[in-house]
Amino acid sequence: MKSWSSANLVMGILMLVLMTAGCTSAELGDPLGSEGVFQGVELPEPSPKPSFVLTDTAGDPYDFAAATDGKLTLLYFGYTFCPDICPVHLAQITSVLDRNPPLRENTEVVFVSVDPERDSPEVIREYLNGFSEDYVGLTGSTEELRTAEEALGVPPAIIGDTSDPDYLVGHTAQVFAWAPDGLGYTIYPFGTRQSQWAHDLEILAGMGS
Amino acid sequence: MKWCAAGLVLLVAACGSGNSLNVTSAYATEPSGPNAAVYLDITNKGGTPDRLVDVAIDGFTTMLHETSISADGQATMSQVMGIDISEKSSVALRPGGIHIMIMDAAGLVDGDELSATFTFEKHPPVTEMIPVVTLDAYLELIESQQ
Repeated sequence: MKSWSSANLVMGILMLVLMTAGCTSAELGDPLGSEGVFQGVELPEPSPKPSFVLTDTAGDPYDFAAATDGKLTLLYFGYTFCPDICPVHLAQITSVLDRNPPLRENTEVVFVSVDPERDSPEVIREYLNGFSEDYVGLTGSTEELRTAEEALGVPPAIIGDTSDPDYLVGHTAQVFAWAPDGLGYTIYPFGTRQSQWAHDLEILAGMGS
Repeated sequence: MKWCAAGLVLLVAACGSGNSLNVTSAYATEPSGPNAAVYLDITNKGGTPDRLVDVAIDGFTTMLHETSISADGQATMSQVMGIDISEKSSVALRPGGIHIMIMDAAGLVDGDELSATFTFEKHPPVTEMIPVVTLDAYLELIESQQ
């Protein structure tokens, strides 16, 4: 039995924050409504970057905390078969970063596929290249992915019946962000607007850099 | 330039047909992976509720899917067998909600057009040409409308 980490505790509180934020809207409206420093959903207290190791698209081990040290880091769990929220999240982030080269220079965007059956490193790389060749793509065994999800404190992905070639995967829908100081202050549910991304990323980039 | 094209397409799509059920603002987003999504509005101007039961796109297999995001932030996508449209109301298919998934659509690119036929339980079928646009262009379009 695995014990609950501080990240789990923070995420438990975060779930309550999300419930009040009303993040279930299908519209790309304003799901956040924050009146604080950030326009994303602010965490009750800064959360340290989780530690996990997965495999990147070159086949090399990727130590998430070490590889992203000192960088503004955005982490998203998704899968390439999804034509809906996964590419929308990545397109929104890409659009904002493309308009701000200095910001992009010190931002690491990390995509973890929750579909190891279909998403080979090659498939992930080709998918991410459609957004940016600089984005990091990660994969791993089901057990390794579960470990990463637990480190982050999110529910495990729910993989459909893989005997159906069109099976679907349930997964956490938020993008997680950490400032260059290694702390997470916010998360971004689906529906976050580009203007909200642009606002927050500028602030986060200046924290500890 | 792409904005001009998107605006023109929107204008053409808005014209629709004489059916009391109209499909408007229909766009397929250029796929990032193997599949593409179609988003649109269905408006029922008549006094009878109806149900969309099938969408056929020439040359492709399609499925109606709904993305749901739970209170704990978990997204699940599931197949839906139809979409109810009440009388004198509209249904919007948008990212993060109900959408049409075009399977094995990797070859579709910005500028392509798809012929789609929408079949309803009561109203006659509606056929529309659906433009393929980049995801960026589509997101900018719907954000500009909010």
